Amino acid sequence: MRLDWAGEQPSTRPPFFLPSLAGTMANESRHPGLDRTALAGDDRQRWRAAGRLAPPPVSADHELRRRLTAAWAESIAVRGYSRTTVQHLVDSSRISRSTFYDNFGSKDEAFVAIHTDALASLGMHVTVAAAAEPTWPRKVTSGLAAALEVAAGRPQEARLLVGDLFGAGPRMGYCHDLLLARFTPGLAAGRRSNRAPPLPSSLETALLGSLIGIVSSRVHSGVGDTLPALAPSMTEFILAPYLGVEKAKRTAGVLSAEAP
Amino acid sequence: MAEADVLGDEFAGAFEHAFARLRCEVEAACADTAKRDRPVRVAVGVKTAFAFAAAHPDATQLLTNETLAHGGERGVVLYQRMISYFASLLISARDPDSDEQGRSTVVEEATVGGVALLVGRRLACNRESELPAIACEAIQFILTPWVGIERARQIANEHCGTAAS
Repeated sequence: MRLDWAGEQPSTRPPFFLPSLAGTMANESRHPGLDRTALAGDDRQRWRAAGRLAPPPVSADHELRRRLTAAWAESIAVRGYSRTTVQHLVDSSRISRSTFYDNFGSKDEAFVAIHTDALASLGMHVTVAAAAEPTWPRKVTSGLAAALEVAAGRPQEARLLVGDLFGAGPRMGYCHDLLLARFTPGLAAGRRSNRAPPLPSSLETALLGSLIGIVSSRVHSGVGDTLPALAPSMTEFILAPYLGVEKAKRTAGVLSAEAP
Repeated sequence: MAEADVLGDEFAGAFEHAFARLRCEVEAACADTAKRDRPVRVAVGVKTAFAFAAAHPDATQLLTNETLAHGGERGVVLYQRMISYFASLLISARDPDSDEQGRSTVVEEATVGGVALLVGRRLACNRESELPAIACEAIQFILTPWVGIERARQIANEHCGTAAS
């Protein structure tokens, strides 16, 4: 079952790192056929499915970021991070070079901006899913399931989030660090709430790295839609170091059986 | 050459060379322990791989971070082949008489991917000197799904002496 995205609206407020594009894109004449007020197709359908009559206009920021996300995901797949140039991005995203440089100083800056957006979106879904659960194992189970659903439903964002960027320089490695830092505390809570035995200090990094590897391989292979089916196995795998193998197996089995 | 094939033959050749060296060292170390328990063989293999990474950071950097960052689709394929190889070693070490045979192989793939990230992060920060120390944690991490928390820590301590305690 896919997550219900109906309640998710594109932000109309530019994030702190992204100045407003109002006017900038309106003046753009290279691609006159572009409907700048349209929601992305899937979001529009979700909006209607939720019973709302008039989809709100999307901000130019949202549209720019949506196009850049697609452009970056495509370019990383084809060329890798290092070989991607601003020209590749503007060609693929169909924005003008001047629009690009009005908003970003470099390809790195553009990447950090959309990576931060994608991470915030993923974090929101995981947090919402986990917050509804009463116990740590349940929070992990629901949070993981939500993350896999997001990755399956938004493969381009997933590719940006889990792509290996360490070789592309310290600034890009920083994006990866943000991803790990975002979810490490939630896992590490298992150390204190379940009377876990002494555990390796790198455990959470390794567990998240495992998840990143699985998501990355499936998305790169074009089978990202199979990720939700891996939730039971991955849940058991992640819980095992904290709860013990047998208890993790039982817990994952019970929670999987309860899942809709 | 197609644009997708951006990882030049020279780079791909260097990857294959580094991968072959790593594979030889791990397989040789595991062969020396062929008659011992499988968790011990796994521990020896992991320790050997980390020793290789510490001794040859450039080659390991190429096997992990550089291939993914520069290689596009071809780099991902090479990287995944390495992950699959080490996952297959773990799968072949499963106990044939236990219910492990019926388990999803995604666990082995996941553990190898997690360890690869630990290694890649250290190399990206020029902290390869830390690799031997985290080998112990990696052994514990890899063995836990099969032998449990306590036994995994015990084996890790026997081989490195610095597992979480």
